[in-house]
Amino acid sequence: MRSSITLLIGIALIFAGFCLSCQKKTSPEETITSQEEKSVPPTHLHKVRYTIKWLHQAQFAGAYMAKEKGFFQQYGLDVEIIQGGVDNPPYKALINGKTEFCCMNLITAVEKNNPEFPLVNLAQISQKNSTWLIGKKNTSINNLQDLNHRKVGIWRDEAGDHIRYFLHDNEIQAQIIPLDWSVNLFLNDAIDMMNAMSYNEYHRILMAGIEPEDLIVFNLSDYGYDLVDDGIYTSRAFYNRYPDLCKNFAKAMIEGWIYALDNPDETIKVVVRYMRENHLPANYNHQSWMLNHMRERVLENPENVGYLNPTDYTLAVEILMKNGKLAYPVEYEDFFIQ
Amino acid sequence: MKIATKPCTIAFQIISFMFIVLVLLFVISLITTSRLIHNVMESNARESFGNITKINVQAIDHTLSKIVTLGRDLELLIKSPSYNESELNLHLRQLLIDNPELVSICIAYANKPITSNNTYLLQGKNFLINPSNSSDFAFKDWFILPQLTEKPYWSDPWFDSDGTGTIVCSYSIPLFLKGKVQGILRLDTSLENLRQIVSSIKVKKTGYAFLISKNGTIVAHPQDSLAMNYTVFDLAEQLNSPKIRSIGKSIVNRESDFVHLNKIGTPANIWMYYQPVPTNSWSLATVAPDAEVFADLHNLMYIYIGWVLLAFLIIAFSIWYRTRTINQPLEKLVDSIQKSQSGVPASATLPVSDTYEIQVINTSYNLLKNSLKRYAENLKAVTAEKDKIVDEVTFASEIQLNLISNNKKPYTTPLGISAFGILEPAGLVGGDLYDYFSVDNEHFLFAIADVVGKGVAAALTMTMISTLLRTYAPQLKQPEKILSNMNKFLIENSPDYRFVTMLLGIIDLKTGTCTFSNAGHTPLFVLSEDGSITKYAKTHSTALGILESLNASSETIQLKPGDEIVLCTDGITEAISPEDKLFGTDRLEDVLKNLKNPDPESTAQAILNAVKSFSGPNKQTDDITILVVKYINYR
Repeated sequence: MRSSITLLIGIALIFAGFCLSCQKKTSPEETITSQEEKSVPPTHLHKVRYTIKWLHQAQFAGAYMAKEKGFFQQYGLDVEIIQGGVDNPPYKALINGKTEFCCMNLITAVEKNNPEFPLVNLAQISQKNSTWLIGKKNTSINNLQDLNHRKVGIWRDEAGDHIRYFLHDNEIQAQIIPLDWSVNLFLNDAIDMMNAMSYNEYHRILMAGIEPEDLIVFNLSDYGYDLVDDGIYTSRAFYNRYPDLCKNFAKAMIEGWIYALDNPDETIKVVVRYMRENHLPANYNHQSWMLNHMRERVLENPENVGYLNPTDYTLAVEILMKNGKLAYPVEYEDFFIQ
Repeated sequence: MKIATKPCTIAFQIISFMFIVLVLLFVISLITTSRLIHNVMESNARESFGNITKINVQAIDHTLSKIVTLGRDLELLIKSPSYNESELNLHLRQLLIDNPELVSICIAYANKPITSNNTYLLQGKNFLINPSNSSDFAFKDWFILPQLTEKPYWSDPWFDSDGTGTIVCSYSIPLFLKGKVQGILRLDTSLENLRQIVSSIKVKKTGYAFLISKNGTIVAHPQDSLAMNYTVFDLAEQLNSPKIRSIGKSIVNRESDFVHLNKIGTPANIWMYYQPVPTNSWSLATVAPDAEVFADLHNLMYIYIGWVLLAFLIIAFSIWYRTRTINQPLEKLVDSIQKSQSGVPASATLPVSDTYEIQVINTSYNLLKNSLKRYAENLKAVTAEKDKIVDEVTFASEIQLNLISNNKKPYTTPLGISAFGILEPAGLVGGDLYDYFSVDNEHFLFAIADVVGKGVAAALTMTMISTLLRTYAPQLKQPEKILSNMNKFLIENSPDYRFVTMLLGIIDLKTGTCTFSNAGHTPLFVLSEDGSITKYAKTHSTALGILESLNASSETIQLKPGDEIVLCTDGITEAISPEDKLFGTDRLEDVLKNLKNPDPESTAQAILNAVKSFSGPNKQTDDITILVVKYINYR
C-alpha cells in the first residue's frame, strides 16, 4: 500500500513537474508558428532572445528603441535583450541555444562560422571600423614598429582576436596583456598601449583627464584593417526554419536604430535605464558621446542601413585566411541575407 | 532745436541733485566695501573650507594608511619561512576582528590551483574562506595592475562578488618569489566606510563633500547618480566648462586649491576646496553655494543698502521740508509779482520769512513796487500831457500848412507865373518853408527857407518867418532888405541857437527880371525850355538869425519865358542812400536834365521821386521842401 501510494505520489510529482517544465520551457521553436508581417496586427508575439556583444550601453541603442517603441512588437516579436560580454559571450550563447540572435563583430562571426553550426548575418549595423590602438605620446611610441617588446593591452577572448591578427600581420612582437574592460591599466601606465573602441574607451580615457593631443592613435583602418564590427547574427538552421521572422527582426532593429539616431535624448534615457537596471555605471555624458559616434557607423551608407558590403566580408575572410583561422569559407551570398 | 524744459521747484532740483550725488557715493562706497569684505570673507572661507577638508582627509587617510600598515605586516608574515596556513588563517581571522575597517583579505596567485586563491572575511562571527577563480580575477585591476607594475596599488571601488558582495576599495601588494610577482595580497575596506565619512561632512547650510578617485571618477557623492558613474571630466564636458576640466586635471595631479565655479547647474555658483588623500591619491572636495559662503556679506549689503535708502529718505525729507519753508515765501513773492504784472500791486500779500535773502528780496520788491507805482502814475500824467501836446502840434501843423501857398489855389499866382511847392516834414510839423505870392500887380515873390532843427520850435520859427515875410514884402520889395529886416527881427526875438537859411526872390512880371538873395541856402537852378540848366550857388549873406548886421546883397537875372526856377532845401541835397551816399546837387541836376516838357508840378514830383528812390527804405530824417516857379510871360 505504502509503495503504491509512493508510486502515485511519484507519478503525480512527475506529472506536475512535466506540466511546470512545459510552462517554463517555452522554446522559441514552439512559440513560432507562422510568419507575421508588420502590416498584419500580431495576434500573439513570438518570444526571441537577442544577446548583445557587450554590456548594456548606447552601442546597442537600436535594440532598446526597437523594443521600447514597439517596432519588434509590430513585427510580431517579443524580444528579450540579454547582456553579453566576457561572462556571456554571444557566440557561446547562440551555439548553446541561450539566444536566437546575437551581436558579433564581422570577423568573429566569420571565424566562428563552421559547418556544424553555420551562421548568417541578418544586418551589418556598424559599417565602419571602430578599433583603435591608443598610447600616450610620452611613451615615445610614434609608429607601429615602436610597439615591439612593449606591453599592449588587448581584450581577452574573441573581442580582441582581430587586434591580435593585426599585430601578427604587421609582425609586431609585443607583450600582449589581456584586458577585461578597464582602462585603468592604461591610465596607470601599466601598459604602453591599449585597444579601444573609438566610441567608447577613447572617450573614457579623455574623461580621465587626458587630452587628445597627449595621445597617439593608430586607427586600424589606416593599416588595411578597415573591419566593420557590430552585425546581427543567427544560426543558419534557425534562419532556414524562420526566414521571415529573422528578416523581421533585422527590419525592426534597423527601424529601432533610425529612431534612436533621430531621437538621441529619449534614447539615452532608455539606455541609462537599462544600465541602471543592470547595476552598471550609467553616465549620460558618455552614452551621448557613444550614440553620437555610433551615428556615423550606422549611417555610413544612409541609403543602405544594415547592408554588409561584400568587400568588408572579403577583407574579414582574407585576414582570417592569412592568420590560418578560416575554418569554413562560405560565399558572401550564403553568409549575408538581406 | 531748443527744447523747452519744464521748470522744476527748488526742492525737486535739490533733492534730484542730492539723489544723484548720494547714489554715486553709495555705489562707490558699496563697491569698495563689498570688494574689501568679499576678499576678507573669501580668505576666511578658504581657511574654513581648508580646515574642514584637511580634517576629513586625515580621517579617510587614517583608515587607508591603517590598511596599508596591516597589509605590510601581513606581507611579511606570508613571506616568512615559518609560514603556516592554519596559523595564517587564525591570524587573518583575528586581524579582521580587530580591525573593522578591514572587511576582507584576498591572497591570489596567478599560477596556483584554485585552493590557493582565497578571500577571507567575517560574516557575523563566522570566518569564511571563499575560493577565487583565477580566470575571473586575473583580469581585474586589483590583480593585474600591481602584477604588471610590481608596485602596491590602491584600486578604484569595485564589486567583490567573491568576498563581501559589496563595493570595496582594495590595497593590493605584489608577492614576490625569486624576484618575480607570483601573487597578490589584497586588503579590502568598504567603500561604505569612506562614504559615511564623506556624507557626514557638512559645509555651511547645504554644502557637502565628495570623493574623487585618482582618475577623476566621483567615488562618493550625495547625489547617487553621480557616484561611480561620472568623472569630473564628464561633468566638465556635460556642462561645457573648460574650467571644471582644468580643475579636474589639478585634482588628478594631486593638487590642492580653493576655486569658484559659476553657471554649473543648481546651485549655479559654488565654492570648492579640494585636497588629495596622501595614501591612495584620491581627493576630497568640499563644496558650498556661493550664497551661503557669502551669506554674511549679502546680509551686510542688504542692511547697508537699507540704511542708505533710509538715510536718503531722511535727507530728502529734510531738504524738502527746509526748502519748503524757503520756497513758500518765494512762491508768495512770485504770486505777488504776477499780480503786480496784472496791475494790482497794492493788494498783493508780501511773504514773511526769517531768511535773509528773502527779506532782502522783500524789501527790494517793496521799494520796486512803490517806485513802479510812482512811475506808472507819472507815465500816465506824461502820456496825457503828451497826447495833449500832440493834439496841439497837429493843430499847429495844420495852421502851418495853411500859411504856405496852396498849389490848389491858382489865384495866389499872377498871370504869367506858375508855381508848385512840396513840403514833407520829417515829423508832425516841419521847420521848412516855401512861399510865393504877388507883392503887387507887377512883382511876384517866391521864397524857400530852412529853420535849423526840427519839431515844434522849428515850426514856430517857420511860422514866424512866414508871417514876417508876408509883413515885410509889400513894404520893402527888395529881397536883401526883406532878409535884413527878418534877420534883425530874429536876432532880437529868437533864441541864439535858432537860425534860418533862406532864398528869396522877386520876379518883375513886366521885364522878366528876377532879383534874388541867398542867405546861406542851397543853390537856385534855372531850367530853361531848351533843357539848359543854370546853377546859382552864390550866397549873398549868412543865414538869418546869426549876425546882427546881415549885409545882404542880391543878384538879378533875366528870365526867359518858359524858364523854371527850381529851389529846394538840404532835405533834398543831403538825402542819404542806404550806402551812406549824399544825393547832392549833381544828382539834382541830372534829374532836371532828364525832364521832358516840364511844368512846376512834374518837376517837383520828379525831384521828390528821385530822392525817395535814392533814399530807399531809409526813414526820412529831414524835412523835404521843393519849390518850382515857372516864368511864362503872356504879355
